[in-house]
Amino acid sequence: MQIYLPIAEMSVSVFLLVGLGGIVGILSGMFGVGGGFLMTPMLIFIGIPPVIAVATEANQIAASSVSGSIAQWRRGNVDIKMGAILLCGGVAGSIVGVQIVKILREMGQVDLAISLCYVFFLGIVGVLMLIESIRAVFRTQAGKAAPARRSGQHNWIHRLPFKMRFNRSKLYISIVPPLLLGLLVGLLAAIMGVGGGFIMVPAMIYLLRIPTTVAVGTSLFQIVFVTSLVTILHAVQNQTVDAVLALLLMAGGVIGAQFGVRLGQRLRGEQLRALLALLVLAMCAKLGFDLLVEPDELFSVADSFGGH
Amino acid sequence: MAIGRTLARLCFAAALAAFCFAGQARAQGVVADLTTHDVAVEADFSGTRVVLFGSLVGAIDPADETTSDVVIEVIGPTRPVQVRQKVWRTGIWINDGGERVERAPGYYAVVSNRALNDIALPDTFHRLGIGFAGLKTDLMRESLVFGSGDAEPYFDALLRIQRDRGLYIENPEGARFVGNFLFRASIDLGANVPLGQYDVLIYLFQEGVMTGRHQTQLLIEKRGFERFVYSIAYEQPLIYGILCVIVAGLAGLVAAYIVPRR
Repeated sequence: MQIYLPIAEMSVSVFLLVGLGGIVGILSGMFGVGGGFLMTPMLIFIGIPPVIAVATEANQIAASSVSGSIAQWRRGNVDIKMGAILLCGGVAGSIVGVQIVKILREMGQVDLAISLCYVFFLGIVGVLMLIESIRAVFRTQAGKAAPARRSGQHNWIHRLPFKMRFNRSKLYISIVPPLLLGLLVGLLAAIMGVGGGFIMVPAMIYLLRIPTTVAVGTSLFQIVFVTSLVTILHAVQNQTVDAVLALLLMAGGVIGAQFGVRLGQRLRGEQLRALLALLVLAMCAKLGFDLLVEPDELFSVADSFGGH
Repeated sequence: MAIGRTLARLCFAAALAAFCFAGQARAQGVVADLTTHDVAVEADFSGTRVVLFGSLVGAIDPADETTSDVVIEVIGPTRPVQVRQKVWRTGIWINDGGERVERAPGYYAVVSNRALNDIALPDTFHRLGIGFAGLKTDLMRESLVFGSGDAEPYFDALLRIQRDRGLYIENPEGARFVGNFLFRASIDLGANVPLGQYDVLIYLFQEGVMTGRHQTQLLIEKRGFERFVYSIAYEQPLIYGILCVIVAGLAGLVAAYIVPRR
């Protein structure tokens, strides 16, 4: 059954889209990742124009992060004050990011920029995940417990000015690092169509020393607002949000996430993480390969935007 | 008022008489019509085929043995496009500045009852701007102000890419004569056809000379939910963006509260 996507102006199989939403939903349910950095490249692979993939995926993440943050909220894992500071940076980052996309689009380089960002970040995330999961596998085989995280130690971040108290995170730190982190993640959300949890959560845990549960909850909380803003900004500036595509992905994602959570509880974590890492690296390789190898068709035709 | 209306009727009658007379003075003419003038693009749109019926008109002599050919040209709405070439820079393939074509038709089809080269001399079609060669000349004329002599590969690429996408079509078997005077032709419209007003031009060729021409129109528009989404996205982008976010929020709530938890 084909469905016509009104903004992408193409006809795609409904089952393919709901299926993609479902598979990425399963993966994100299993690993607790947002899924944007898996979904956007997949949409690009099936032929959705990258700018539309990015803007529409931001819309879908808004949906999945709403349900995620409600669950986190109930468990009291959201530090609203920290979330608000991150969000301030996120707002600035998304405004700048959407503007960058608009300019790159006029220059005809937006597809390249999106691909390059993905090759870079998928490469880093994939390698780190693979190393971590291989280590974890060896650790479990050796029968040793994971080393405890050092806490309470001070680093350069604690010497920065504009300090503020964050009760839920049990921290008294400068607001500069969270602002910058929010800015970076806002930029990524606008340019790559990701929530940015894969950068934000480790940064919050290892750099800001926020407790893991609070980091996950607060990150999800601010992703709701950043991706919502990115959706609106892309809709206004670039007209690239495809509501029909987003709806189908949401439908698949909601169903998939339910299965994913259950599957994740039954299966062994380390091996699964290694598999996810391999998947991420495979997508990175595919995108990188397409940039390096001489394309069959050197020319491309695009609608022209703006004036002369 | 009454006098004016009578006068208008007289003028119309005179024009009609002149038209009929001209029609008889010409050897033959052509009339045609589409089975539909209105194609609706809805959620399940995956392309369609529009059929055109036509007939030769005028002083028809059944004993006449001249070969008649029809060529149907379908021209979609024009829009500016940017054609870019990938170049090898610092290890990766990057788009160059490209060539801008101000008014490229989003759809272009030439349907005939046999190969254009068999119908008339290439020069005839080129002069009339019919066919890919004529189209390329038209496109290059549109852009030569900005372009340079090296621009030709970009125009070849534009034609090639649009043809591969099924947007530029040359179909020398799409039209067929039914008997001596009636003909039918089919126009294929893929799922990716641009929306808007299409011009359909029907040319009659006899012994390699164009002896008749008829023009009609075709409208391709979005309907229903697709139209709603499309028009609000472009006309009220802020409201559209906010609606998308509200829908996402509702979907998230459904997932959190209604879908049973483990």
